[in-house]
Amino acid sequence: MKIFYKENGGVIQLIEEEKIQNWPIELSFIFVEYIRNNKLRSYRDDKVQNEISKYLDEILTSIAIPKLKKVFENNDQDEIISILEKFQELSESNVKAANHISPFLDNLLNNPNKKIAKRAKNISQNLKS
Amino acid sequence: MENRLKIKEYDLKATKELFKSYLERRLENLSINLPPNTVKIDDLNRKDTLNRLYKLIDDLIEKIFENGKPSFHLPSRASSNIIWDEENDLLLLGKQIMEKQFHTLTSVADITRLMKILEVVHELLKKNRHITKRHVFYMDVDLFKEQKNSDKSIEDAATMLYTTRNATHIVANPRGSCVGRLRIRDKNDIIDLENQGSGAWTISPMLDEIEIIESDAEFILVIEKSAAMMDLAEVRFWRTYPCILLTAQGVGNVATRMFLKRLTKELNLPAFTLVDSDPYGHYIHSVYLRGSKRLSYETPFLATPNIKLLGVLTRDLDTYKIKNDVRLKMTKQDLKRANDMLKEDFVKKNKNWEEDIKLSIKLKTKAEIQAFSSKGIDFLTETYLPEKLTTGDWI
Repeated sequence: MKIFYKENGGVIQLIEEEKIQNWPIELSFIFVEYIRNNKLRSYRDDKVQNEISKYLDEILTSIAIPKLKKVFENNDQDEIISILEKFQELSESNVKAANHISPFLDNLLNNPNKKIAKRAKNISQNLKS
Repeated sequence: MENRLKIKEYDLKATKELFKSYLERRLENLSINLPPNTVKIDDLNRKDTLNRLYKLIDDLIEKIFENGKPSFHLPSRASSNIIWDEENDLLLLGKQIMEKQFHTLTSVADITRLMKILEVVHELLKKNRHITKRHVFYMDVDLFKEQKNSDKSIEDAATMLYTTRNATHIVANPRGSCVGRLRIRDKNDIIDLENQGSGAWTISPMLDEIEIIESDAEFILVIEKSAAMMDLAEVRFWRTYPCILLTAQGVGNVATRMFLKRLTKELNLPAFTLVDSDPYGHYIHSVYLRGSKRLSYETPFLATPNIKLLGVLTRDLDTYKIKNDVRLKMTKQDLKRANDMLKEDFVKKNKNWEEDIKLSIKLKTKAEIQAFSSKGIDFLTETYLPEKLTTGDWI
């Protein structure tokens, strides 16, 4: 676990990056948004809040987003459809976590594969509503 | 629900110091060096368990071609092969190997049951499904006759594969529960164990699906009785004293012990037991501490050698002036169990523990955790536990 020490002697432990690396892509986004929105303020320690916020950013920039980007770059149609299905489901229940796919949606809306275009459109609508 | 605990009066100094020392030594705690005369088993993932199963069957087929007399070899689980590892304070399986032959009349039922279990394990692993031991029994009642036979074959199969029973995806019924300062993930769901209403999260026997993702706890309290757990949960004990509470409602089952082991290992948290002040309570503590004889082959994944017996100690009954009318007289069976415990090497090694058991035999007295209610409804949560955790009065 990654350990963060509070000024008052308290300790916060978060799962380490090596384990997150093996997670399904969408779970990394769910985790980051969960900690950011549900736990961060409860730590009541500016130093720890900053450190954890940086750690969450690092998970996004070094694990979650690169893995998502790679799926679209690989251009494996089945893999893209599978990840879009997961994000469509996510966009119905957890907009903040699903929103990380937004930068990739524009290209996908005009994809010649109808399944891909349709899923991208559905996600886009869910994120706007 | 409102936090009903009064303003914090105790700083849990001793517990915090213990936690700090565990955090400093965290790298040392990562692995246990097992003695050379014991069997080493691995907690395998699905793919590796399947590979080990295929290797086992390949070897069996080879034997059939070689001499037409196939057999399985597996570590003996007889009591003569159970070794107490003094250094790590664990009960482990020695290296005696037994053979199960296919071609003798005496072993035909046993081997047929074992092959059926291997077939079930294969299907479970291939489909990534889990089932309970009871479910396995009902898969072929004619073959197994009684559940104890299917249970034995399940343990044989796990031993033969040199892995934990959980790795075979055959699990026990869920019994334990957990609540407190902990966040876990079960597949893609994040579960907050602080927000479980008036209840607690049922410890899933499918622990291969569970991962610890966040915690700000500073210790773990394992409670024998669900009634005491309910008391602590109702006042949200963990809000005042950052902790994780667990109960298995009696002797710890596999899932609870394995989950506790994982919590202490991954979070470096000190763990304490709160059990009745009687020999059975001490036995429950011992199972968490160094494992059980029946599952000695899985001990490295089930035992928590650092766990402390916080209470209720026999000496606590006088220290906290527990009246005689809420104490109970020890039965013949209690006295026998207490005397049997005194013969155990792991008790002899721990003078503090030995003294407390001797005191209970001398006084012939025992008490339940609930005896503290005689001092007031909040005495356990507001005085007894915080005071013990602050002063370090544990075994």
